[in-house]
Amino acid sequence: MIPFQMRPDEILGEAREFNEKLAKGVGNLMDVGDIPSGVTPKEPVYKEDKMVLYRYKGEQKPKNKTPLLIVYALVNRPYMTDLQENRSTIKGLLEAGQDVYLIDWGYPDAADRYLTMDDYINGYLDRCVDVISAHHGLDKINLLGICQGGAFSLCYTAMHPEKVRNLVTMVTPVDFKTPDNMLSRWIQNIDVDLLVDTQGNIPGEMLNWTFLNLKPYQLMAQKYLGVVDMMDNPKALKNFMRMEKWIFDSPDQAGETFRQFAKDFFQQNKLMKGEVQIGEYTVNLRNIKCPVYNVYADQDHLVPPDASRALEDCIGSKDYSELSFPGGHIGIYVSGKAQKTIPPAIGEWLDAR
Amino acid sequence: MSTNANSWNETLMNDWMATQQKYWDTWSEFARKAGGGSNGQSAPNPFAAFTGFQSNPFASGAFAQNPFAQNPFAQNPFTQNPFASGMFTQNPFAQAFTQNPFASNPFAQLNTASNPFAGLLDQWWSTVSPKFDGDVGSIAQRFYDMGKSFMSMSEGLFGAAGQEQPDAAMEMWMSSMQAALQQWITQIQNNMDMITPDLPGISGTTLSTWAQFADSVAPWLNMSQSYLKDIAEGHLPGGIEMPGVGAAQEQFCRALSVPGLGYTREQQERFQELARHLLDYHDALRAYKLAFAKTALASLNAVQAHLRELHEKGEKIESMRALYDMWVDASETAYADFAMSDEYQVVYGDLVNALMSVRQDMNQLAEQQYRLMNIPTRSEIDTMQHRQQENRRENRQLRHEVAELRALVEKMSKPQTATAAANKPAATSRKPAQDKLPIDDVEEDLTQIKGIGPKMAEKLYEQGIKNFKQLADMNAKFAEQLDEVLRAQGRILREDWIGQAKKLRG
Repeated sequence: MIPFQMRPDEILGEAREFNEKLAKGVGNLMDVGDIPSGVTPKEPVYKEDKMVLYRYKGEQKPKNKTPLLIVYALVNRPYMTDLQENRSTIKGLLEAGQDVYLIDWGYPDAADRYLTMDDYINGYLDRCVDVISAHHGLDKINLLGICQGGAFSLCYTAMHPEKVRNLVTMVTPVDFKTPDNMLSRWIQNIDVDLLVDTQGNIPGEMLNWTFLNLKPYQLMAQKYLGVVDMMDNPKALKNFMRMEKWIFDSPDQAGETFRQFAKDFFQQNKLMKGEVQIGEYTVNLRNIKCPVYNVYADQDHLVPPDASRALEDCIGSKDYSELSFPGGHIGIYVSGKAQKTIPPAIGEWLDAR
Repeated sequence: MSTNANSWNETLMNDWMATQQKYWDTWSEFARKAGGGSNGQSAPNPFAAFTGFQSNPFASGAFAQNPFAQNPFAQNPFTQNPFASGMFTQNPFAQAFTQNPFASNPFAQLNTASNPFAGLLDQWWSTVSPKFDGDVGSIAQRFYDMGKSFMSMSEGLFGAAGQEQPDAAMEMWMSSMQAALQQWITQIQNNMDMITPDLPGISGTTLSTWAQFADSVAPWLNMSQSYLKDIAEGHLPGGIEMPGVGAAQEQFCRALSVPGLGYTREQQERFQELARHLLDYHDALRAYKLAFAKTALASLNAVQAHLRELHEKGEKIESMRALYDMWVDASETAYADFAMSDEYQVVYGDLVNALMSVRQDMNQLAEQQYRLMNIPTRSEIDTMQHRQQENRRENRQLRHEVAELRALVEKMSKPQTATAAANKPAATSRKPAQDKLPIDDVEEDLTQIKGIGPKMAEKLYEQGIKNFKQLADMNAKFAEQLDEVLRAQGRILREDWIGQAKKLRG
């Protein structure tokens, strides 16, 4: 027996109500206007190729004399950390007294397909660190790496320990082969060389397709049904649109960097084993002796908590602490709850070191 | 409830549709005005499409509108492509490739529900969607897709609710979906599937987004179907008939292995390779779909199990939305089990790899043609870009070294602070070997020292070393560093410039 209790007129009523909400909502969609990519004032301080290094301007002068460089992933765009006024990790960090810089990698095109991890980490990132260090007259600065940018920051710190004072990693994969890592399972049978040789750069749509298929029913359908209920609220709708814009704003991945990241990190889990070769360096995480703060989300479906927590046993640092956030991979930056807890905790941790 | 459920049902339905149509029309009119009237035709009367609609909302063909009128698949990306016409005329496979490539595209009918609820939405959308562009357009599209899926489910429920015994009707509805899925699975197994059943939730979405992606990567996939069919039936390109080839894949593959001959041999081999890879892709897609269809069946079973559970607890489903959410949750769980399985790892990887092999063949064929036309090819550009990136990397490295050396030189030319190892950034070096080089502006002829010619003397002047005393006061470590800066290859110590300077100084 099926516990179904609806009369036809009720069903039609609900369908009508839904259609009307949808129609009104889509009308509101037309009026949403431009969606800005980031809200906090910032100025470019260094540019190279498509990469731009920004410095953010807080309302008061930073208390911490050591600047903090945020290293974002190559996947998606960094304005996720600065989505809207009351949902901005960057704003939170500024309020916590940090002097915040951020690397925007830009959108690689076909001419960038031979950018390697060496170019990204020992090239762009290293020069950004030098620029900031020189500007502040310091030998070392603080790094904050996000997701893949976290993995980059770990590699960087292992290769250039003399330039990093403190390292914060957020939702950063270290062990790429935990049993609950769906993304990693999917990529194991992919012929990465064939993919890169054929495609050159990896199209952003392909990554998007992959990410959406981690939870297709929720991410491609149910989510929109939920939004229909609040589409009559222009402000809520605009906030939804900011997020939506971000999700589908996926730069292509430079082919050679994708090749190494997919093969060495995802398929062969070399970061943990100390076998990643970048330029002239072999990346040994034991070289990381500075204080490390590892922040992860306990419901992360992209980087499972265990993938992040593996860091503790891989590094040579004696000052290691963790912060677990009850939420997901994105929620850790954009949820109201995260807003209140994460940036202040990072600020406090940095100030103490 | 009416005693004649069917007629009551129909009247109610027609009334509802009339109201809805009016609503959408008003909306569209509003949008037309708002959008500047570029697409200002009013929507066609939807009732024309529903004349055959009696009591069974499942009646196929009741809804004649094609919701995919603006479907990206309908556009042939090769129409403006040199390959579409001229280039293939001398190709033995031209015949197969120029036939209507979309005639049997298996994706063309994905998600095409014969569903009046969703159909109304379609009409509205086709009027409205041109008003959107950019970010908003693609987002609105997602709402529309979801709306269609929701309406499709509502229709199923409506069909059930109009019956005397709604729960029995709903049971039937679900059974019919199960049967449709089962049939789909059989069709895939027999290589006969054409249409993905439309289920509540988004059963087709994963597949249709894949199809969109595959289409963007390898437009030829759409052409491949008729091409494969021709070959499989023994019609080889160029009008050659192969008696007895039949549809058996083994023989098909053998046909593709026939060595190419003559002037077009290389090209023919490439086409055979492409055909083999298209076949591989077809197989990989079939395996993926089959696994996917089985998962859809599992999720449907999970929905039923959940409904039974609710029934046992005495709970009721009281809205379409509640049912939809429950459906999504059950489907997502079933999908997650599937997606984490070893089977998925294999079918997914095979699918991506097979697509890439097709694409690679396409690239190579394109290269061949471009070469004939004396147009630069992708691989040539790749080679240039690769070398350029290597040059850039090396250039950066050299600039970095020059900057370090400059810093070092600058330090050395300020006599109080001249220091630093040449192979380290000046800023980080500590405990310099020698802090001071005596300040002295007295200029002497350094070429008197054996080993120092006019050029070297000039270099030394540039470093602030102008007389014998300065040279004589150097210690060995400083001399080594200076040697590196001057690129003197060890001559300072080997030729004992310091000793010579001591003798020569006044």
